[in-house]
Amino acid sequence: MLETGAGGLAWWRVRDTELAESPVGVDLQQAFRAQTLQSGLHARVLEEAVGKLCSAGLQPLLAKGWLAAGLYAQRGLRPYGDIDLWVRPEEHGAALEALGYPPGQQYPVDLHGNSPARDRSWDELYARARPEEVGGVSVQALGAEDHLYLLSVHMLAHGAWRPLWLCDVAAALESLPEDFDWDYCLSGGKRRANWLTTAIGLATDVLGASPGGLPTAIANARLPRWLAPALLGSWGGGTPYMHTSPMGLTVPRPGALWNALRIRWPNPIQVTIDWNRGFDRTPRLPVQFAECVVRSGRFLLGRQTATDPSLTSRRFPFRSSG
Amino acid sequence: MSATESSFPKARQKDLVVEELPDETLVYDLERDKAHCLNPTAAMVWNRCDGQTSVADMAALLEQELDLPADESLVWMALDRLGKARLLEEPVTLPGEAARYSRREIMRTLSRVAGLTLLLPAVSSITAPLAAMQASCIPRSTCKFVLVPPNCTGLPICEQPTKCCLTKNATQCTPKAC
Repeated sequence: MLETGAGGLAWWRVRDTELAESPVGVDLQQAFRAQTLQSGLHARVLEEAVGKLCSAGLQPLLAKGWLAAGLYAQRGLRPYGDIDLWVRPEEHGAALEALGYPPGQQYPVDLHGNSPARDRSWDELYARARPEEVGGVSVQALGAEDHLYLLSVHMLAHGAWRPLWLCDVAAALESLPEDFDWDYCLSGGKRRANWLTTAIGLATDVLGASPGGLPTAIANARLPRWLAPALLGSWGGGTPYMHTSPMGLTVPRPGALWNALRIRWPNPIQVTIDWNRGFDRTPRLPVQFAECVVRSGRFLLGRQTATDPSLTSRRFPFRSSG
Repeated sequence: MSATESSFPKARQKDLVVEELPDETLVYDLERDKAHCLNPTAAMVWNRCDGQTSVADMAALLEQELDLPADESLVWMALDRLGKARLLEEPVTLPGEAARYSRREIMRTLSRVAGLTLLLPAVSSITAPLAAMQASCIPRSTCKFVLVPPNCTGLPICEQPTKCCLTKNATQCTPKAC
């Protein structure tokens, strides 16, 4: 629980039970307290960072960690490592300069210069953005429709290995504003709607989220059979391959090779997104195998180096931790 | 600080992050990188440490707000603990009379009202690892915001926020999508 960041949520669940007094309960409560304080620290950082960006004439868009934490009963329930801000690509350099890096790294801010939502223009994103008060400053936050999409696809693109990400989707679903525009949210192509429907289906089926007013198409959608087991498998599977040592470091140690290959077996949820497929009944094995071939080819060609930009180019822009 | 000044204690405000929860108040000391948890009694006393409210007034407020005995020894106990946690501008010097109060005596006072021992002023430390564990790695700048430096919760630390470490405890960094 603690390793996946769900310690605070677990504490919230047991706080009124006898488990609260147990050693594990005490650890969970300490995690919740620490996360609450971290949230207070982040508020200061965000206020300062946004102030600097605004002073430079830039208007960042806030999403993910900080914004997702606001969906919960207490901010401390949803930990996050850094603050995610988006700026238009042409403003990215100026934004980095305004925040003082490189090389200062004054703030734990993940500054993105790519679009946070597939098939949406920056003008559309800003038009639906809403102001969020952070301390003494106001920052534009991603609109509820775009944020639900971002949370959903970010989770799927990472193989949904962190339970907290599905909790984010569930929390977003249960906090939808009354004027939530489902037509806009689902528009933009069949694939987009499929991914969103899948994430919502997981949140309702696995976590029991109970959002009101779901469109019939989503409410009646059935998840493919392989999906829930794959999700639960990824929750119990430990650290995903992308957070481990590069293969090149493992090969010289034959004893570690088998384990390295095992943890690199492609996550079926992740490859579905990476290969731009829909979540349907067809087995994932061919796509997983194809992913293995591509990765192996890249590895054998020596392209998987620490500085190889192709490592990130094929990935969707949602791929960042936190 | 003289005993007279101690009677009008003042809470420290600089370099603190304060988060109030329904049942407790959390305080992070940016200067010392320490986190504290104040129970309602300690929090109430701390919130009244404005340099103008006397210990006697605080004792009266304990009764009004928390339904505790209006006992100055409770306030002194809270001030003592807050001072040790460096949450007051100056540590308090207990006046002779207050210094005589032992924890046992205060417990005896409180035990007249069943269940109130839980409301003894308490200032405890928070030692849990932080949310930085959400990231696969953390930049050094983030480390400043982690409650238990320099360990940084055991996560690898990189100099650039766009990069992460190859493995835990490693020093090499690679692009974030590693």
